Amino acid sequence: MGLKTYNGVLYVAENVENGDDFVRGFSKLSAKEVFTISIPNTVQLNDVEIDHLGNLYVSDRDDNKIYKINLINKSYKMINNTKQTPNGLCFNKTQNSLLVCNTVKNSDIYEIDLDTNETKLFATSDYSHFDGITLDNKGVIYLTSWSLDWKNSVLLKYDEGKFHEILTNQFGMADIEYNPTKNALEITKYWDNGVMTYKLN
Amino acid sequence: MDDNIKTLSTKKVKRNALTPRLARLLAHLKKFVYWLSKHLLMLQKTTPSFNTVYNKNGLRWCAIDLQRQLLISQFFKRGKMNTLKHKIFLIISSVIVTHSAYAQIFSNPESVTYDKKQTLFLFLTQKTGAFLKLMKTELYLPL
Repeated sequence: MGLKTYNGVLYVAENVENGDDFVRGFSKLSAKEVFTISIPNTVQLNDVEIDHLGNLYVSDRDDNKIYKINLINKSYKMINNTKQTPNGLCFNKTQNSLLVCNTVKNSDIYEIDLDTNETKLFATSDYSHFDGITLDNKGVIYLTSWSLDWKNSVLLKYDEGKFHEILTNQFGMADIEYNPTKNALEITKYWDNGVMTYKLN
Repeated sequence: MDDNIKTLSTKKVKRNALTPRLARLLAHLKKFVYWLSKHLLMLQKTTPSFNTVYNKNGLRWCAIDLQRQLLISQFFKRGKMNTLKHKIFLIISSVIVTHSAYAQIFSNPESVTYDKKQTLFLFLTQKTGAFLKLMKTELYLPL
């Protein structure tokens, strides 16, 4: 259940219980639905990412797949089905790749080359339940991780091959996005019904 | 020569006399343009697609039912939030919202993004929770 804006449209992954999931786009001005695509046999579409060319990527967390959607001709294709429980997505423009974190007991980061769709392991961790992933303007990766019982969450920084814990709390830090204007991370607090802005140095 | 000086002096006095009135006129004009632009902007924001609700705290919340139980809401707080040029758009899945229920629906945000105007968008997933808490105390905490 992610969302992303592009060219005045807010794109949302909609999880439909017992049915095919949708990606929908809504005009920010009128709130009218201006884009709809249904992907058959999806189980739980989750995070949404859009690259610099306007291709949308969406993870199907419960069906272990990642799809690429062409927003112009409303077509889609599956670009990965080899990783368990893919969740957060982040487009890396400098590498033309998609960073993917998954939600398992020992979660990892993967990188999909968007020219070849080749997927490689980017980083392994002992942290559980990765959720959101983002990149700052220096190329540093930030992630959120949940405890196995989903009560505690950790904000992580992955830099120079190592994970560093920045924040630990019970807010339920879920999706995360780097905001270059503020040089800050926008973080949803699932259990605390809020959003926080974490300023970076 | 004296007459010329007198004429010039009179003209100067007249110009000086006009200046305060012109300044007042300009000030009124400026206020009017501000008022007009504000209301035009408001009109634009409250297109018929949105159901708009104002509450006591000066927060505006807009929602539309998109017939598939998917809903977009928008609210912003006058004053601080406007100063920060922040608005919030909310998307709530699997919830049908009525105006009377607005205080209880905004909870469990799962995803966040923003646009070039620094408008923040949230995806909310549950029906239970406290909308007012979200707005009043938990937004934009500087850490």
